[in-house]
Amino acid sequence: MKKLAVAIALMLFAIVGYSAERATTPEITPPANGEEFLRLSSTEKLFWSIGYSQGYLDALNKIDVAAGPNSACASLAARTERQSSTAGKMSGFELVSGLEKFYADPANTLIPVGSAIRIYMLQAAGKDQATIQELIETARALGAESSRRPMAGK
Amino acid sequence: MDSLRSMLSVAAVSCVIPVLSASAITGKPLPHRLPAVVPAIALTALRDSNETNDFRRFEGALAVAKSLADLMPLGAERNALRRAILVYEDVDAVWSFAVRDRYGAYFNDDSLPGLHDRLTADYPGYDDFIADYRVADRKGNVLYPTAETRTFLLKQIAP
Repeated sequence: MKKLAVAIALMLFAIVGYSAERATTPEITPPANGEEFLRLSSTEKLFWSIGYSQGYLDALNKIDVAAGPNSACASLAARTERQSSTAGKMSGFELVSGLEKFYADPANTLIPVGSAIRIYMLQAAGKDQATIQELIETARALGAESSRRPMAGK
Repeated sequence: MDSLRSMLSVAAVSCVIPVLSASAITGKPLPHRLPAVVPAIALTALRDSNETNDFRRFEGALAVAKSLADLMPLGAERNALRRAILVYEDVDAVWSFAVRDRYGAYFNDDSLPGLHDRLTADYPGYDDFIADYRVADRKGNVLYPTAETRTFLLKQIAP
């Protein structure tokens, strides 16, 4: 009887400890579009943007390893994809600020985060307004279409 | 309740605000006795522009509310409107920085001098609230988020 009571007490302690740990563990779901991005707190947005930049850069650097240093894939990555990487070009603070401004327009909320970052970077680099507007219109159409499709992973 | 709010909002947009704006532009004075519903309409326009995240509309509504407060006779109603305007002016300071600055998601004493200290002094609970969201950059500079600051300020006006 005594052993049973001790076992129950231990089990209760374990459950309480587990729930306390779960309650304090931060959980950030990567945002797919503006709707999800705007739901994050500023701290979450900042942590996510730093991770995004770092992950993007790491992935670009790994293309050399996976595809070979002089392959077409590696040169494509160096030529085009590296240009749309935020790493080394803008801080997490600037990326969060840029995306907040971009998604402040309700018409942009369904645009995927990756497209929004590319457009914001072109805007910040001084690309002409006509091209930017064209890109925004295309991204809006793509975003609206992808929101109508059921997501595979969700 | 929702339909009443939307009716007030429509009235604000279509009637009262254009009349007040025109009066401000032409310099023609408004009647001293304003209908009691007018301050409520101005406040509804301010609240709605915040809810819809429409900064340009918010700035227009704030200018109208300020000129309204100047015209109202002294009394409880004017005081209530003035108090709301003071909070909305702080919202404006934070929001316009967020909209215009390249690093507008966060502010500190360099970007908005004295604002954090003033908000801490004027709004009990702000310091504790924002402590959960403040971050430090690699140089150790403490920064405060504009989005959460705006959320906190708007809660001070919520009925």
